[in-house]
Amino acid sequence: MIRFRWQGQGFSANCWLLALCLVNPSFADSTATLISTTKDEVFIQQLVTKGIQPLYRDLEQASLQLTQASAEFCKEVSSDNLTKLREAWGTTLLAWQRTDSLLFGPAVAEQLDFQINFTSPKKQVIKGLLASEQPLTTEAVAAAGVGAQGLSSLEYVLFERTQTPEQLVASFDEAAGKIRCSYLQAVSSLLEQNIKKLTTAWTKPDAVNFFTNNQEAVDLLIGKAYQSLERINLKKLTQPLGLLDANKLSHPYDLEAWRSGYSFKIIKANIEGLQHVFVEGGFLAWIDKNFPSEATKTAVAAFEKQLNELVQIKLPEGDPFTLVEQQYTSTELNELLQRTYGLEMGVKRQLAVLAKAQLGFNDNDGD
Amino acid sequence: MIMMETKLQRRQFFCLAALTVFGGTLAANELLERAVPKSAKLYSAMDNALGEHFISQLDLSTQELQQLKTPMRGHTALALDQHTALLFGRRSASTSVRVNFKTGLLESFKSRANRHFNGHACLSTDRTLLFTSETDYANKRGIIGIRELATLKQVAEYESYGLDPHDLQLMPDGKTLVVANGGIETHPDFERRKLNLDSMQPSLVYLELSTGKKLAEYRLPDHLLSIRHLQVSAKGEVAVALQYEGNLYKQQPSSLVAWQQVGGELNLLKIAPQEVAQLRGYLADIVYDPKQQLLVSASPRGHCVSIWSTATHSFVQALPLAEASSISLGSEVDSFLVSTSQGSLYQLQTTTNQARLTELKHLPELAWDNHLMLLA
Repeated sequence: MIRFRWQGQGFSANCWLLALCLVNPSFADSTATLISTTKDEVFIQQLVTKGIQPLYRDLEQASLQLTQASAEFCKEVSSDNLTKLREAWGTTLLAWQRTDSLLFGPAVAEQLDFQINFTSPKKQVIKGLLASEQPLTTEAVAAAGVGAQGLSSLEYVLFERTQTPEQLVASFDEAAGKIRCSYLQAVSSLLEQNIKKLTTAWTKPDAVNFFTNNQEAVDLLIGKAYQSLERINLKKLTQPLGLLDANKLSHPYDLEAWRSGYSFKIIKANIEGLQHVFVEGGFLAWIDKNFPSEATKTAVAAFEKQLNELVQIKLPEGDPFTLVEQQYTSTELNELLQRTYGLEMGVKRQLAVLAKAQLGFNDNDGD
Repeated sequence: MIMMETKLQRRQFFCLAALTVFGGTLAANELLERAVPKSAKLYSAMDNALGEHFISQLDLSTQELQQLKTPMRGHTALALDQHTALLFGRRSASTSVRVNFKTGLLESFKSRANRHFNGHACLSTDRTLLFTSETDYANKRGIIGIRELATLKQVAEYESYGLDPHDLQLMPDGKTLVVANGGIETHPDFERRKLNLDSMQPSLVYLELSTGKKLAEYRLPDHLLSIRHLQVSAKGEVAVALQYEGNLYKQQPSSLVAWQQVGGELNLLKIAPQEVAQLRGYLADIVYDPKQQLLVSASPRGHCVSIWSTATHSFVQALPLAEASSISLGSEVDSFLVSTSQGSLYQLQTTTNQARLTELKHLPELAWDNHLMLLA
């Protein structure tokens, strides 16, 4: 057995490539504290229409297909339809994960993000619903709270690891299967409704007014990108891999989406979304233009290169839960660890400083 | 910069435009030795670059740093003696710890079910009881947990009469607790998400220590100003450091510091709009020097330390300091200690005609959390 190697103290040069190869901007720069009230309408327009809206449109389309797949499956419960349903669920999950660096504004209003993907699902609440004698409605699921809604609740009922696909199919076909199917369809339908709300908020004509000025866009995009990368490194990799565990134990149940095997795919989706917003949305180019210096030019080019390379990397082969449980390591996993950490440091130590974004250890979410 | 109105302030701060973070001409070690008595120790929560959490004890005379890893991110440390300290879990942690730096022993204690710690605590005058700010998230109410200090067993609890009690302190009479109810609803299911910004109602509440009865409650005109950190003077005056929960890109708060004289109302200290903007709506910590009648506050978002006068009830000046995070009175007269989440510890001197920041120590790859406690 090859155990994970803790890379924290000894990150290779590759890991620090982005963080340290550049001119180190002085933190004195970040002491320019007055908020700029300028608004670059062209930049904001590009950001919204080319960076943000396509991600939500893809998500809406995926959720629509998921609802349809749920209906098809319940109309004809079969292994083939389960496979299609699982694929539709996976497509929706990845589309959602591509918006992970956009958790501000409409996404967090009324906790829509938690209604779309609350992890971990509340198993007892779901079991309580499934014990119902009446078919479940979207209202009943909504009333049960976020722990029984959204993508992770669907994963719970669609990817039971102790059952074979045949057994799982049978569970939807038995006497209690009607209730199970009603839950599946209600959750899918509610998910679609919530995603539609979000997409509508971002695609309405005045969506560009969400950003009051350039500074708000800079603070939000860099701050949320940093938080997304921090989640990847701490919650999606370091914690489950047990890299900081004193007893060197891994924690496979801490992997996000461990039931379905999407744990590493969602990380790639997070980066793809970040790349889309920062590159297609014109954010990196805008930073380059508005904070002109050699350090900015170098940092922006390096960051874009890292993003482009990261979305191309080969993910570790095999089931993530098994890999983590058995503490197998691989070149692919180490590269994923190193590159995502490098990207996080790049945001924190380079982009945030150069673009004068509000970011820091103590002020990230206040106390 | 606003005009200074008193001789005291003119004398102390007339050269505001020139103020900056000064590099000392003396070696940092020499400054550190001058700045503190031989036995002084500084306590704080800290994180390292890997995101691991610690409680730290920095001996200011020997510069020896001791760190004990903690199972949660702490917020405020409370030193009990030269070796023992408490560290209270930051919202929404259900764990706090007592540590002994001599033995390395760490003892965890938990909040009750459906409650979490909010990061602050204080002791009774006889040091037998510990009062902790907590949230009963199932019932959406603030709680003051009461524990025997010796055993850390919870013996009772009071309502805080508001949501999100954060800082709390014992008044000089030894019979009254003052509680900063931040007003923000949270729930661990939603991590640190603020759930009620539209309807939040922060308050400053006085409780009778022996019964938990509410004696008085004060609010500010702007409900988006979260009442979070307190400093009580020996006379019973209360300083409040605020955090603005509105959209700063659209609207600035009218102030970020409030002051209450004994028996008086809770009033905001005056500050000009262009001055408050540089604080970015967020004060992390506050300390009061009664001799100079100055409040000093750390502003990590504004990357500065701000100074306010209780004599004139107004803002005095801000000194740039990247990620200034916490502050305490220094051991020297007219001095303060200021830490940053970039690992630095500074001395702030306010005795001369220039307020001056001098770096005393830098701890690479360590981040000081939002509060310091100096045990001299």
